[in-house]
Amino acid sequence: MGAYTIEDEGDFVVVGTGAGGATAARVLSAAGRSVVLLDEGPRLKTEDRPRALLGAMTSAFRDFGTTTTRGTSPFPLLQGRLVGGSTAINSGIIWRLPEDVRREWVERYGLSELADEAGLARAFDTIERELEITETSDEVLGNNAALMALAAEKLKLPGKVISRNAARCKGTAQCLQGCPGEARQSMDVSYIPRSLAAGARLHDQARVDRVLREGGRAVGVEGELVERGSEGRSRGRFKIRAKRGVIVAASAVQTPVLLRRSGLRGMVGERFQAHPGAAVVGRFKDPVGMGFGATQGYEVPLRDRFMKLESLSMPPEMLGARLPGAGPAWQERLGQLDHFAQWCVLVRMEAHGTVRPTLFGTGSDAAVSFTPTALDMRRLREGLTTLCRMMFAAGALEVYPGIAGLPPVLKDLSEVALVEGYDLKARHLNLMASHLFGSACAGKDPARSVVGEDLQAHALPGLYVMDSSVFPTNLGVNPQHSIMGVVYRAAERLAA
Amino acid sequence: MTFTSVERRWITATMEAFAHEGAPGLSPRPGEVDWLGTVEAMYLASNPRGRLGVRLGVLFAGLAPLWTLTALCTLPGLPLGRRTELLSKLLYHRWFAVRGLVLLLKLAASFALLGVRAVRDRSGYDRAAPQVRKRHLPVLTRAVA
Ligand SMILES: Cc1cc2nc3c(=O)[nH]c(=O)nc-3n(C[C@H](O)[C@H](O)[C@H](O)COP(=O)(O)OP(=O)(O)OC[C@H]3O[C@@H](n4cnc5c(N)ncnc54)[C@H](O)[C@@H]3O)c2cc1C
Ligand code: SF4
Repeated sequence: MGAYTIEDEGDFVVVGTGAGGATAARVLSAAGRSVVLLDEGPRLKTEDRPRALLGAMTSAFRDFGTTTTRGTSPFPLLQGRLVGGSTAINSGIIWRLPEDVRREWVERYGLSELADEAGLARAFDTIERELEITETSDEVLGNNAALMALAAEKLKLPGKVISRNAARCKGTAQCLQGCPGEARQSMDVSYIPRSLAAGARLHDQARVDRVLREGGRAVGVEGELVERGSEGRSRGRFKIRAKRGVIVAASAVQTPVLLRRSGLRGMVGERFQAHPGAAVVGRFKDPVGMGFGATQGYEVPLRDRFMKLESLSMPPEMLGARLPGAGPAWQERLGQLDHFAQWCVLVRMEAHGTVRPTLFGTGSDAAVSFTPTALDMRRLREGLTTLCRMMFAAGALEVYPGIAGLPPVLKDLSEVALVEGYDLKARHLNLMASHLFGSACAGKDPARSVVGEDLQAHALPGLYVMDSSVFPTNLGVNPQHSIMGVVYRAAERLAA
Repeated sequence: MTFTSVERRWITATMEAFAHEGAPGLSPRPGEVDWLGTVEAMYLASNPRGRLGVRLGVLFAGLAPLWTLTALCTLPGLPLGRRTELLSKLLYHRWFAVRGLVLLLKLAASFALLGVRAVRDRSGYDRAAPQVRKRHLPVLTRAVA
């Protein structure tokens, strides 16, 4: 064995087992290619995933959600670090790549093969069939979503029931902790087992630190076997050789870090984009019972206004922290935890940021710079204003806008004007982002992109990037399905 | 040991001020909640910047009576009611860093408190509620408008 605890070889090595990596593995292994899958995170059995949020987040979230943007008003970038990637902690909301975005990719970025309409439609059809995509049923919609539907109807907003990859959803509102009945078809219970059944091999808790090159080609990867739960202690090193290609699918934050640590430069880590968002909570006279219902069941997509509103049921620990006050004032509200609804706004921000490896950190630690523009903040304010209005329209007794500098509790509709007229800055909010894009963009021109139409790096043949970092723009809708569709197409061509 | 004995006293004083034993609403029973263990678990799972944030939050809170010119003592030296009053103010402080770091401690308090099954049961979060859908919404839109 020599210097390595594990040595392995395959036609393809896939780094990352989230939406992108698992889809690549699914297509390549089904085509008879030998695939070695690697993930920094552990492979957790559903029954072993903790239900209380502390355990759920320490075991499955990257650094407990403490990867934040840099700057004066940092905010967290939420990501999964386990087999299945962020799909193993997400809500399973499914949207196809919007047609206006697809056209922009073709017309402005020249990606006519990657974003080919018929090819993508075929990929989406297959994925939707395999992952049991369906609209959330009435039985498991839950009151948090139903109240939002009621508000949308009253205010004549274009709302709809959310489509998800969870046809057998029981409405436990535990998507964040991993679906207890495996109804939600996250990658850890769908494309990963399917790939393994087709002959792929998986090494978990294996953090790739470098892409190996020989003769100007990517020929494999090496890294460290890390033990989670013991502060990332090393269990040795590994080296995996790839006969046909190295596929990096470590996410829009970790992919550019790995590429830069492997010596790639140019546009790597540039043009990072996101859909940051914030939430509004309302208290109702009648019980809402957020603990029952699909984690996310109803949405108001306002694409022309660059935002999307969604119902968002949170575990009690997070909902509790979102209620105003401390001591008895807080505890009184905590004692009625079944009386709250929570909805959020996500903004398709125009801001671009950068991702770099941290100076003194190791492995996948990232330094992300991202500052919303003034226009982004105006859109966020419009979204928050709409959410506050919707809460009152649905009958909320009081609304918590979560904006520093404004009253923490709005008592009636007239007070929403305070939100509408506020000079909102990022520092006034507790922003979060979990839709991340574009730090290794695809494009024709090597000077302005990192990978070409086939998702192969311009600067290093044999190296492919297959996750949301190749997207030249953000989407304005939830990204998982678009990532899978684009990767499915690219992997099909690679397998041929 | 992750935290010094001084930090541990400040953490406990902060957490107890967020959630008083015996207060109306949802209150912890003696010995029911592991405040220190929760903060320690959060700290260990965080990256170096996150860990620094936890340490700074504890420092801000622990020394708050001094730097806010409230009293000549650290947080545990204040009576419970005044501790809570001070933390409430810090949650709405005009500096983002102070607000953010104290909110991190409140998040820890919420995780610790509601992470205990018996406390969660008392909160009513999981109580079955009559379905709004049946009462108010005859038709739901099922396609993008
Ligand atoms: C809480 C939450 C809710 C969300 N809800 C939705 C939703 O409802 N619908 C939707 O469409 N999208 C949702 N998203 C976003 C969606 O999950 C992501 O956009 C998508 O999973 C990204 O896919 P990816 O392949 O780019 O990265 P990921 O899915 O994040 O996978 C990356 C994987 O790479 C691994 N990795 C990273 N670095 C290394 C390394 N150096 N070596 C080895 N492995 C490495 C990571 O451990 C991880 O498993 C949500 C995200 C979050 C966090
Ligand atoms: S709401 Fe519960 S049952 Fe439904 S998909 Fe999420 S975790 Fe599974």
